[in-house]
Amino acid sequence: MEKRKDSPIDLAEDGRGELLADVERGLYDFREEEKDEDFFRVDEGLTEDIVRQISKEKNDPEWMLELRLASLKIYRELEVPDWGPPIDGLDMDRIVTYVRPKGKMSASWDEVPEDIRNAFEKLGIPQAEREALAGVGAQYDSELVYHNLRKDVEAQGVVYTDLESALHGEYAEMIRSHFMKLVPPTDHKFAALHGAVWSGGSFVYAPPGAKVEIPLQSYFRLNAPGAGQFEHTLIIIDEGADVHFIEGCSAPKYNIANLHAGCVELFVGKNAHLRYSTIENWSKNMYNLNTKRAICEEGGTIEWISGSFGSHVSYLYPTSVLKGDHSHGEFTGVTFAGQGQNLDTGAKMIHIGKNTSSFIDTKSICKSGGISTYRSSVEIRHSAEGAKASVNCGSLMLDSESRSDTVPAMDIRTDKADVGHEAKIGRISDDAVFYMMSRGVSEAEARAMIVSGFANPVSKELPLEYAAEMNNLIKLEMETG
Amino acid sequence: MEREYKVNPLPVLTWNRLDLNVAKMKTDAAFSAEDFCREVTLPEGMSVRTLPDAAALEEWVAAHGGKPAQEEVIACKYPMVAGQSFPTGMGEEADRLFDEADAPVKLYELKEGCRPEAPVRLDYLYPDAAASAGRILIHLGKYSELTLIQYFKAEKEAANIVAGTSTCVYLEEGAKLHLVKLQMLPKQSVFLDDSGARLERDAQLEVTQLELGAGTVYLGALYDHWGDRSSLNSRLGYICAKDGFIDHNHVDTYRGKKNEGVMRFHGVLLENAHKVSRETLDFRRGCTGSEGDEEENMLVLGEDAIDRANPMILGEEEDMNGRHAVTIGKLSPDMLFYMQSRGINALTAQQLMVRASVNRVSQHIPDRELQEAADRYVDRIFCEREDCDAPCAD
Repeated sequence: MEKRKDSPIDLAEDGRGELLADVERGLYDFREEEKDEDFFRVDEGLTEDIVRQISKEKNDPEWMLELRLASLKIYRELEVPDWGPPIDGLDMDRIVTYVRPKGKMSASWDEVPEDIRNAFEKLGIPQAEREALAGVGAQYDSELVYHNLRKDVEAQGVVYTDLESALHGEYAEMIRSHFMKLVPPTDHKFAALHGAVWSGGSFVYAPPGAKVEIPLQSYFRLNAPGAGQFEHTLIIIDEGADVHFIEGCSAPKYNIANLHAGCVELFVGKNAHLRYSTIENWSKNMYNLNTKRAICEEGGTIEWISGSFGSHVSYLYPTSVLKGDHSHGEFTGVTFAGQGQNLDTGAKMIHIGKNTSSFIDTKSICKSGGISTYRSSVEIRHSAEGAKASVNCGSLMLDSESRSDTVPAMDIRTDKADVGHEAKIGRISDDAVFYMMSRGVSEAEARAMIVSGFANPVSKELPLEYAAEMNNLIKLEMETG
Repeated sequence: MEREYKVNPLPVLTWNRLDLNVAKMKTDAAFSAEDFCREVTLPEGMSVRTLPDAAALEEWVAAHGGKPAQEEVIACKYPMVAGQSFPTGMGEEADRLFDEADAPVKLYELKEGCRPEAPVRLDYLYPDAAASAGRILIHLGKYSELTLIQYFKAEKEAANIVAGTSTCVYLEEGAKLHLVKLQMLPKQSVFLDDSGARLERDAQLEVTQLELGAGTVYLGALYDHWGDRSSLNSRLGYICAKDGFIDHNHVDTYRGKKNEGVMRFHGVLLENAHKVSRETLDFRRGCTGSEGDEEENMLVLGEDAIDRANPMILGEEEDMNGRHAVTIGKLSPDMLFYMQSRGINALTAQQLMVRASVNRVSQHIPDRELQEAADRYVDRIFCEREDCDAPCAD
């Protein structure tokens, strides 16, 4: 791929590119050249014509086109956030918002186009499906290319499909009544952008009492340079059901900006349980401006497990709205910011129901000039009598070129709540490194082991294969960052 | 005419919807430069003179080490103190308020090596309807030591006062200052207290601050560890009573090596009180070996109380340790039951807990008379409550 001279973000020319080039991320940083004849793409930029074109391509129902156009209007009215990492390098006039492989979504790997299949083979997705998953969706650029669900899970009445198909099937009304209701386009500028150009993503519905004991997974691969990915994940877990959903994301590295502005909306019913795990490993030219939100009914539980390793800039704060009495939210996350990365991550908890509880446990690691910001808010409304909230955030700085900030906020509006918050920032203890070296471990290995141990609260919550992947990512960052 | 001042800025911005990035302080008070500070006899080695205006303050700062280099504004960091000659917690718009009042700066200086034993007490006694803006600068020479008490009070209990005070502190190498602030203004008053401190090598600053009165309170403090091995030990206690509002911003900035800072906040919110707190440990690149510890303990005794907080740690240096913790609690049913089983009613139980919280700070006031005055003030807050049936002792 030739470097674009007029690229909106040129990491090589501003001095960071050469350093980035030193990072060997062969596992994720491979490219499948996209031939024009194999892909359909809209023009760069964001116009009403492009939005209408996407809508037409996707055969949207009328209400969806209206939502897209209304979102575009809101996008134009809203300002870029003034409080987070700079996103000056993101030029929407240069982003291609829709790139579709020519070929239909398939339920068989053999029918997926060869180049795309190769990409997912390298990422180990088919193997993971065979060994550890109840269902898989694989998105390449703007569209899903593969979707499959195990028969025994399907037999429970669980629906796991691409959102576009669901929009025209028996669940159309359910989608219409939930789509962008939890994250309205007015929420912020990039939610509005998502509303205008969303494409791809998954729809999951678990009927009352369904128990999916092994995880479902969606894998998102953004291959096209200068493109945006705007997938929408909508999950509705009905009363008493239990689901674990995993998403993974990666992209090859280019010298121009890519954009990810996905949206995740999770509806957790009465006494239902949903665990949503993410291993995010976008390439380091990615602007990851993603929005994730869950709402829990009475007795419902949402658990977020999040590993953020990639992206040039991230804004990511999964939100749990604890609406029902006795509902519960947990967020466990690790963020690793290396060279050229400015990752602003955290969580939000909103307590509305009585006797709700939440727990946030995060770890941030930064090195080689990376910037990591932990940002959170815990809101306890007046109605949330008996609420309990606990926040723990730890940060580890591996050198003095990097920066680590913790910016937690609390807004407590009842005297009948218990809230605790603790944060620590520090370095790797010399004594610990010395101790390990005295037992024959090299300094580099000792430091990597300590960092892995620091991130253990997250990795131990993941299925083994994903924990191993996360530990590999940490090792990779420690070795090459 | 009503004016708005954006004060108490967060050093790093966060979500605007939380309304925590800055406090919008509105006032129509016509501030005068009269500070209503009573005459005081200064100990040997200590003097006072006046710097007439902001320009004179800037000149003085330039002659004493200058101001910090222009803060690098990255990722919305340090947005509102860069323009100050002496950075303070309330930020540059508070300077504007004092400048508009033409408030001169009273410069208290203690000579190198002087260590007066008795505290210096500055009593501010405000008449009814006062709108005061006063500034002081405390400069301690090398290896000098001082305890300075600022006591803010009204001439009469029914007074309606708007009082603004700015306190800048410059501690030279090895100097030690215990700065004590006790505010007991009538509840209908507004109080603004802006502070900034610069600590050179081996300097030690202890701050004991108790805010008991005034219905509306804005506090800002910015401590700046310039030299190596300096230390801060700060404790703030406050009661925010019915209809009350308190907004405070405390920033402890570490620049030199091996500095230490401890900040403790003990707050009580009664009935429908509203509190906003911002507490920041800011470790700048090069502050190797520095350690900061900040803790907020809130006691919330009102079902309509609002408690908003943003405790932050900013780290640009690997070799440091920063910790902050927040606990927000209430009078638990078990504790209440225990007390009631021993004949203590609910209101008295609350009063005991509030006194315990206040005592964690008041015990460090090195003036018995003021300690007792603080205790009486707490008792009076409870006596004035509608649900109190005991006679006021005062």
